[in-house]
Amino acid sequence: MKRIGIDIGGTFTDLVLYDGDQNVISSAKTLSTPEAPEQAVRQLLADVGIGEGESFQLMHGTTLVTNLIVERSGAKVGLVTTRGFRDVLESMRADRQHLYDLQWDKPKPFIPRYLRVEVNERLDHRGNVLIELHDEDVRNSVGYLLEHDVEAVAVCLLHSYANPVHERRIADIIEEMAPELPVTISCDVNPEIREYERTSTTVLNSYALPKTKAYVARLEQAFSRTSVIRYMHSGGGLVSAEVARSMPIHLAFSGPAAGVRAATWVCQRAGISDIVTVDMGGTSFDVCLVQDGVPETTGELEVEWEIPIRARALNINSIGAGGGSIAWIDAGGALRVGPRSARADPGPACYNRGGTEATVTDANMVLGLLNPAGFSGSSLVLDANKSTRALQSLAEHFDQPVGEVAKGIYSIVNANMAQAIREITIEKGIDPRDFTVVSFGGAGGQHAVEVAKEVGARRVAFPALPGTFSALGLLAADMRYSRSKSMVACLLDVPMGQLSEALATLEQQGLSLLASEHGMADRFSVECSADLRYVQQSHEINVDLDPDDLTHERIYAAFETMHERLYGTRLEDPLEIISLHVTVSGRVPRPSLPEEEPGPKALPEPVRHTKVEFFDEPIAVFAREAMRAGMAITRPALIEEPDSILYVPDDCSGRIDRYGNITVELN
Amino acid sequence: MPEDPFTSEVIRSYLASTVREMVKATTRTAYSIVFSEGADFSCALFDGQTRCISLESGNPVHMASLPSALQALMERYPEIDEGDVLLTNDPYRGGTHHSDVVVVKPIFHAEKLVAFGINRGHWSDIGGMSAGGFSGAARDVIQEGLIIPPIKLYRGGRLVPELKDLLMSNVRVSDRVWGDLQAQIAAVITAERRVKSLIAKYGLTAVIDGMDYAIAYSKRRFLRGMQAIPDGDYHAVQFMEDDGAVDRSYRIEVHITKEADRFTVDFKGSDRQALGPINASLAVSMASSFCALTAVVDAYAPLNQGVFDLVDVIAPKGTVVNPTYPAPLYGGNCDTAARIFEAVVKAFADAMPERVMSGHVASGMNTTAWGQESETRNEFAWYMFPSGGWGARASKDGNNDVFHAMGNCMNQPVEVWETRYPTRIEKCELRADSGGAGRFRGGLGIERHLRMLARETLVSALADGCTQQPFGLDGGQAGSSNAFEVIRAGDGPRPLREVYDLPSWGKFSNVPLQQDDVLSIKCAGGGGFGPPEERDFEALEWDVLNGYVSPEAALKEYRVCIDESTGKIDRKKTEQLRSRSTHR
Repeated sequence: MKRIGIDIGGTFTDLVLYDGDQNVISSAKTLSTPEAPEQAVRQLLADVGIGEGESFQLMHGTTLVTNLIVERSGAKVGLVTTRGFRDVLESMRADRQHLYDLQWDKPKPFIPRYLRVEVNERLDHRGNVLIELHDEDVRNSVGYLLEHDVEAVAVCLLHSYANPVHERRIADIIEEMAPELPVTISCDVNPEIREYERTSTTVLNSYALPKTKAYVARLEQAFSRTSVIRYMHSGGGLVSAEVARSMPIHLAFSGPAAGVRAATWVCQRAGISDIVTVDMGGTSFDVCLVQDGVPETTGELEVEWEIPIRARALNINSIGAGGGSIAWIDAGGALRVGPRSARADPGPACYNRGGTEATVTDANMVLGLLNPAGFSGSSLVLDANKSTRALQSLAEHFDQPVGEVAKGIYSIVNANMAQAIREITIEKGIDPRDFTVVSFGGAGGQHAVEVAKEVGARRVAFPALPGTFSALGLLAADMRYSRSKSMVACLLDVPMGQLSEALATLEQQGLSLLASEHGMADRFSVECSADLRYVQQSHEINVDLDPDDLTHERIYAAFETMHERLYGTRLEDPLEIISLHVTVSGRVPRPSLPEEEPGPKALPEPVRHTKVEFFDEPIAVFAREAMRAGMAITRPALIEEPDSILYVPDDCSGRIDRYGNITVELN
Repeated sequence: MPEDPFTSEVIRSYLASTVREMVKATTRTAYSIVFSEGADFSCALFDGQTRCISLESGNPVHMASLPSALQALMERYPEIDEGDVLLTNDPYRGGTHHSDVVVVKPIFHAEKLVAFGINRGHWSDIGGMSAGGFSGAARDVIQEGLIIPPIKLYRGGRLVPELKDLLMSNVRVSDRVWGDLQAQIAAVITAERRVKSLIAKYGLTAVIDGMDYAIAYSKRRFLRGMQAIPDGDYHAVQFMEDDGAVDRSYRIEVHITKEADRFTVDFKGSDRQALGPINASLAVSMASSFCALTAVVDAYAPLNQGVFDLVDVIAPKGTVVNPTYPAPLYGGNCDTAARIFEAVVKAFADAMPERVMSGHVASGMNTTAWGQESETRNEFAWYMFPSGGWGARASKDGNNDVFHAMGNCMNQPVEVWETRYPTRIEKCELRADSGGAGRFRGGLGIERHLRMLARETLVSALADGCTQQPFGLDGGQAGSSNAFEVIRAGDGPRPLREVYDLPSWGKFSNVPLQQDDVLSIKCAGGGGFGPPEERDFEALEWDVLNGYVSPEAALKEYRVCIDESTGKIDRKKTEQLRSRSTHR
């Protein structure tokens, strides 16, 4: 069966096809068609020679859910809460984003107050019912929401993580009253303690649900007669259409997750399993830590300041640093870079589309790291003079030559990116010297080695197949279903039998979702973890559990080791368990990557030599497609890809491995 | 100025991110909700000359007072060594109030003192007459809690066990306090590691240059912001409504002189010090002034020595803003600080309305409790710091439910709270009509109901703003006041003051609430901006639809008639109403 990865982004739709019979990988790219995404997909299928009616497996990554939330273009949602708590969503955590800004505005709630209704009911934190729920009360509240034509309903009651009975009853009543209305109850989407975060997650799920459901239906209608479609979620795994449609919140970080998957897989093939993935695009820089071939996950990410989604997701740290990031002089007269970006339109000044502000790309142009002739994979011609002009006013401000300002922009954006890496490594007790920085994304090639130097990493890899890398990642993902459950108790009070039973229940829930995937996946596996903390603390640490070897001592030791790694202390105090997480996965077979026996070290003829600001003499420029396995880079060089340029500075040496990856060792 | 401004900028931002990392380390390891959710602590880096380089604050009042606290430590210990950890909380030696304990770690490179990592955090308990602090009944600083003069808790990396014993014998819930102290120490260790690795990378000279640059940067930036403010004299008055001891108010008066490169904040005309614990230590008055000026001048200028050096604060001795020993001052750190902040901001209201806001909750509504659980007899102590409404601005409404300006605490999740304390929270609701009416409406305060589950819970509070209201500007109306009430079965809410015959509406100690009593804490709404009749009709209809403004208040405060059936404004009736009252 042919397997296809399709990554639909805001601008481009990318496709990677793996034909198992022929053992070949091919790819294609076209402009996205946001109104009818299946159009772009159809065209790409035709481009790679898939006939009408031919069957295949389609793995899909999408930015749809993120966009719905960020652009606030989701549904009109109603919220049902416990009496007295409808304002939890609006109060948020009552702190401020900026300490002293009197003109700051708190984010507007995703559901206005008049669409937030209360029902009389109450549980305690152990799940005991203190106030019974009455159907009539629910019908009145829901009736009010229906009168106001809500398109979806979210239900989040206090302490429902401990007992779902009232939320489920409300869902049943809504179904009786309005069978077609999508309902999200918090105990399904995120049965974990802390009411604001759970409410936020539940509400955002409802908010994204109707449009995601329609989107999934469109794709299913277009292709499901012949083919199977699976969706990439924030945790870097694949889920069924059913999950995508009812729990769209899990797709919120679908796009970035696919890139991490691709990097993890490609590097593992090359024998590199401890990596930091860096994806520098036009506006953002995304980093993720991968240890022993496993990307780090988190239970909570924010889509905006204090708008959290609590769901298992790859722990991707994103900052506003990209090729389009604008350099500016702040109120104190210092040079700053980003987070504002010139984006694709107008883009950097050198794109010649009306942009006049100096961007990182313009600085790189001035430094000589980019080719004014543009890239072979695009028709865009770059105007180096525009870049120089854009940097001119900065040069005047600092009374420095334009070249020095370009170096300044380069070093400041590199420092910003290095800081983003430090946050996920050094600040968490991980020594980046043991890690390989793996760079993909259009703008990263010119910066990755310098950023790696800045954090002390010793190796950088530029993987093969860079053009449609995220789509490739879709072919390297497994089916993964995660389930969580809060269980607040002192660890010593929890009999291991009870813990094991709770894990087994979560595992069973996951397995039942996987049961229908036999066509897609084999080799099922289970990962268990718990969020733990010292009894008095408020923040938990996620610790892996071995369900076949659960003892208090083991769990305690694992926690203390992790606490010491993260914070430098072991407090030897009792532990409290807060939540359990289980992920079941079914392994999807990987395509085989093209390989080549390493040949001689000598490099091909450079396509030209070019002046780069960091060196007195011109340096060699090579074409990546001419780089063969075994070749070694011993001098500073630029390497041109169809839509990017890699920069290999001095103090390091590169080589091409059998898979076509370029690895650069730093001295 | 170093030769390469770009490298210095890289170092400056590295130092700033180091301080942010100190904050994270503290949050994640702290034992008490006050630290981890309340973020009631601050972190800072100082250079070897005890100048502030960078700070991050959960609680703005902490920081401007750090230089004087560090000074006091250095005076006591002219000799410090690598591995030392110093502590102090003395409110008469650079401290804010007893609970805020400063932890300092000197950082050395090749035996040269190059920097200090500092954390100041609010301990869950500091001894004294009421658990968790905030005793409204205190009459001197000794009653308020344990005073820790400058001490070395660790010498050359080794704990001095007697000092630990002394400290922990004098605080309640000592295991939690010790956990929090370890979190503070984790932060200063982080600072040490990062500064050392920065020096290893760039060399000592570049790092010291970077520190100088950070100070120069803030100074330059602040001076630039000051250019927009006309030179001249600015003046405002605010009050503390009482001190918990005597039923009289205390005047806080500010005279601000703005010159091209200097602010002078003079508190002349402020009342003499109070008998009760509302006095603000000099450190607090300075911090509040710095913060308010930052808000008006450039809210994003990173505060450090460069800014501090541009502001002179003159606070006459023996006043409510600079008391003499042993006047009590525990509450000065919170509500008085917020009042001083408001006074300084308000002083600029006429000259630069677009840079200020109307009055806000201006109170931490600090409420603490102590008791024993009914069944287990285990001790519990809790500390709640509800937030309230913020003032309207010249061109927009005020924010609902935000912590007051001199702090930035997160609220404590109800679900977490209920796993820890024998108190059930039955309501957290925005208070309709609490925001002052205006062209732009004040933000709404919140009302919380806490049901006591223990046989007896001793509740203390130290809150202002229960009789006075957050002020409106430019014709906007005042917001609603704060209130403490008790609700008992078969009885409506009654002010705590009446039920227990207290000397104050918001400042009291150890009130014995009984099982099933419901404590209602109502937080103020912000003041309005501009005349209410100028409010946009659509905005008002939205307010009514969402219950921010009741139809009754729409009629009374905005003089607008709401059609009951549609919820929309009846324009005809409204016109009639308004023309009638104009003719009156």
